[in-house]
Order: sequence, then C-alpha cells, then structure tokens
Amino acid sequence: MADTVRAMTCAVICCAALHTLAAAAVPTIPKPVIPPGYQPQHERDERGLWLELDEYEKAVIASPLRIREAALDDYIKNLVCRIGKDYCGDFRVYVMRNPYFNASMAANGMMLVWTGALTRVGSEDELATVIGHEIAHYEMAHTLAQFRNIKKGMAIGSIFDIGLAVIGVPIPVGQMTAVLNVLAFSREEEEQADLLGAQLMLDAGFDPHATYRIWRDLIQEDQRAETKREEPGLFTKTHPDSAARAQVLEAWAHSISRPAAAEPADHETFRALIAANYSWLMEDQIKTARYGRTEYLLEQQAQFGMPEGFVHFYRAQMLMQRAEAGDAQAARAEYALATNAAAPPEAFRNYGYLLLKDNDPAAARVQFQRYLTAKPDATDRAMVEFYISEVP
Amino acid sequence: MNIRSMLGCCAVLLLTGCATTPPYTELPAGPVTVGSVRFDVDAGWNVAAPKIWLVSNGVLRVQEGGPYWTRDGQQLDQIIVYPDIRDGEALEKKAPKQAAYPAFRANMLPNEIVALVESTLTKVFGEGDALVTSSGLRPQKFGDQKGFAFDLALSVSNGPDYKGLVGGFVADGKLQLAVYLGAVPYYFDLHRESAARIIASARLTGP
Repeated sequence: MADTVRAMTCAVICCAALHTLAAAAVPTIPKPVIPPGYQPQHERDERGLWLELDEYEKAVIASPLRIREAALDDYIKNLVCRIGKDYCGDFRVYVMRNPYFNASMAANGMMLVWTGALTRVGSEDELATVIGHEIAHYEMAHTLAQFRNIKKGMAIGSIFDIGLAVIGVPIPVGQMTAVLNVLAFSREEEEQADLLGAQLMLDAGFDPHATYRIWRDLIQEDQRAETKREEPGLFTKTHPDSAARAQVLEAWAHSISRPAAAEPADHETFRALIAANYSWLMEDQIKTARYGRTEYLLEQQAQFGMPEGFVHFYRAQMLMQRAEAGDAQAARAEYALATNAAAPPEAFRNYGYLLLKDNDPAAARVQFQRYLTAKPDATDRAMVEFYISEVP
Repeated sequence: MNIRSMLGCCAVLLLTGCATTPPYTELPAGPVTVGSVRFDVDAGWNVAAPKIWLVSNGVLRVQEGGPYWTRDGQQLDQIIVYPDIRDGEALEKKAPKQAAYPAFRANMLPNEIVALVESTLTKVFGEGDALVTSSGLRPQKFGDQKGFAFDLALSVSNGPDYKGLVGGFVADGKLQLAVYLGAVPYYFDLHRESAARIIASARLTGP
C-alpha cells in the first residue's frame, strides 16, 4: 500500500514537473522594434548602411540572375504583403536564380528569395514560413544590429591587425575574427526571427505546423546529402541547428490554437506556378551535382504533384550524372516512364543516347526521331542526325 | 590550432604564393603540347600562371590548374584546356570535395559531356552567381578523332556576359577538352576566329 501511494505520489509529481517543463518550453514571441514605414534615423551609420544597401539593390535589379517571370514575381510579392500587412510598402522583393535554400532581408527592406527555396517548400504554408522569417528580421531591425556589431568588432580587430602589421603580417586577421564573432551572435537573431515569423504567418491565416515541417524536410535532405556543402563548424555555427529550430517551433505550434483563416492558403496557385517553371528550376538543381539532395527533392516533388513525366526525366538525369552501379539501368526505366508521359523533348533524345550505349540502336533511332519531331528547331540536330546515320 | 589561427596561416600562404608568381607570360606561336594533346597556337596569346587570383563577382577567387591562355586578360577572354581527364575525375582536378564537381565517365556521350561542362563552369564562376547554358552540339573531327563542339552562354550576377566555344573528344578513355570564353559584345567576337582555330587544331600526340 505504502509503495502504491509512493508510486502515485511520484507519478503526480512527475506529471506536474513535466507539465511545468512543457509550459516552460513554449517560447515567447518577440515584438517588432521598428514601425511600418520606418526610415533611417539621424545616426550616420544607419543612413550610411541604407545608402550602401540601396547601391547593392541596384546591382540586384540589374542582375541577369534576377527572375523576371511576372507571374512568379507577383505571386511572391502578394504573399509578402499578405504576411507583412502594414509593413508591405516597406519591401521590395526579388526572386534570385540560385538552386540552394535561402532567403534574406536587408535593413532597407530589400528581400531576396532564392529559387532553391521554391523547389524545397511543399506548400504555400511552408513558403509563408520562410517569408515570415525574413519579415521578422526586418521588423526587429536585425541587419542594423548586426552591422553595428560588425563595426564594433572591426574596431577591436583593427587594433589587432596593426599589431600583426608591425610584426610583418599585413593581413586583416583581426577583422576576420570579428566577422566570425558577429556571425555567432546572429544565431540568437535567427531564433527570434523564427518565432516572430511564425506568429506573422499564423496571423495571416497559414498553418502554424508548417513552421517545423520545413525544418524536418531540410534535415532529411541534409541526411541524404552525399557531400556536405558546409562542414560542421564555421557556417553551421551561424545558424541554429535545424533540429533545435524544429523543436522550438513545434512546441509553439502545439501551444496555440489556430484562428480560423480568413483567407486559406492557395496551394493550387503555388503548385501551378512551380510546375510552370519546373524545367529550369530542376536544370539548376541538376547542375549542382548534389545527387543525394536532388534525389530527395524529386521524391518530395513527386508527392507534391509536380508533372510526373518531368520528375521521371530529372531523376534519370540525376542517375546518369551520378553514374554509380545500377544507375544506368534505373535511368533507362525512368526515361521510359518519362517518354510515356508528358516530358521535355530532351527526354526522347537522352533516352536515345542511353539506348545507344546499351547497344539497342534501333530503339535509339526511334527516340532520336521522336526528339527531332517534338523539337524541330533543336540546335543539336546535327549531332542527333550524326548518331542516326552512324547506327546500323 | 583553432580556426582563427588556421585562417590567418591560410591567408599568409595564399598571399605569399600570389606575390611570387608572375601572372602572364607570352605564348610563342606554333605547336604547344598540353598533356596528350598538341595545339597550334596563333601569335598574341599569353599563358597564365598555374595559380592565379581573379576577382569574380566582387569575390577574390583562386583559379588553379589550366593552362589558361588569354589575349586581353582572363576577365575578358580565355582558353581553358582540360587535358587527359580520366574516368572518375572532375574537370577541375584540384577542386575541394565539398564543391561537388561532377566527374567525367569514360563512356559518356557528347550530351553528357555538355552537362558536365555546364555544371563545372557554373561552379567555377560561383553557384548562384553564374548561369551557364549551351546550344548547338555538333560533331567535329580532330584529326582522326571523332569529337564534338558546342556553344556556351554564361551570365554572371555582377559582371559582363560571356559567350563560349567548346571542343573535345574522348580517346583511350580520357577526355580532352578546350573551352574558349570571351566577354560580349566585344571580346568574344574579337578573338573568336583565333580561338576556334586553336581548339580545332587539337590533335592527339602519338605514344
């Protein structure tokens, strides 16, 4: 009996403790520190920073890597305004052609969204998470805070550099060190932006559970990477660990009740836009030659409803580029599936080349002919016709 | 040694190497052999040091390998020779593993080599900073060797656009490749004929 009472008492205490811990784990949402329509104040450093950023923005606008696809551009801008609400007028949004996952926000309201973020989010809710995070950086004036930290660090670093120059090492090691210290500081800002961004996307009617799903997906993609882009250490110190981010955001998402969305997420428009631009998005991804990541993305995109023939085609492309044991055979199956569905004309051509390698010239010729029929103005017609004439 | 000390040491070593290597020397007109391939080079080309520093998109990069031949400087025009690339090797042999350069395979057909070149040059000029596209893949003979040629277009985020010509062939399981890049609108056309002639002159040297 005494044992039972002791056990029950222990259970009650443990439950209470767990409840307290769980309550403590629910994070507090930080507040914006600048109002909508904010302009740089009289401090010279802030005005200088804005001027520098304005100059950089001119280069961004002129960059050939800026996406000029009106439908995609307008869609992202509308999403930014939906989440940013009263801050909408503060932002200029540029979609940049870069196959890696990233987005950024500058102090002057210039937001950059890399196309790699578009290929990785599985829904409008997840894209809203990314955008909410960047808007939060702006509302909390993180760039300015970071800039001032760099300046402070540089001042200290410069004294160290003078010392090095005196002993014959005229390089800015001190400044490098200052930059590293500042990058470490930005982890805290990233965590704050995660939380305020999550609140912003929730307030705009998006699913709060998307905030941690996106990190879970990125973790899985990282696990599939054959070659890690950033070795643990330098870069990863600047951003909180993805698992930790997911954990904090999941705790928050489970702690709140979602208000009825005034305007539900428009997944169909988002899906249609990605599908319309899928070819060049995936061409860029294939060029990264990061096979594990590409393979994972293709699995995700198949689930997300990207055009089946295109997904098969790019999987075949990845397999041919990776060229491990069994990849050519798997690629042949993928090309066969692609060419039986709606796929780029290049699927016929590349299938033909693979059939040539497999000593199946008759089948290769058929695919080459299908390619030239589907793409009569093909710039590589001479090469394809050469192989048609070469094969017996 | 912590990361700060390592960064300092690396910077000292790299700057020292940069300072002691003359950037360009004149390439005498006539036959020039690179690996297993001989080229007939016109007068007026210069060869860059095996390791040079380039400012590309505002970022200081080290370019190592080559050889690189140029007339007006590598930012404006250059011929890059990738000689004797073996099965499993990347075109940029000294690239770090993390950069994930794609590898050449001895059984690659020309369409796959186009993809190899596109991916490699995208990485050389900076992923996310460069857009490389190709067109006009066609057969081309290099002496007795059946090979290929194609055209390139390269845009970088903060610099001139480039056009390019590529020629190459696979012999004895090894890829022999030459790439000409010139800034547009002026430099590409200025040296195009000479560069095309040099690339077309590539011949496998005998054993």
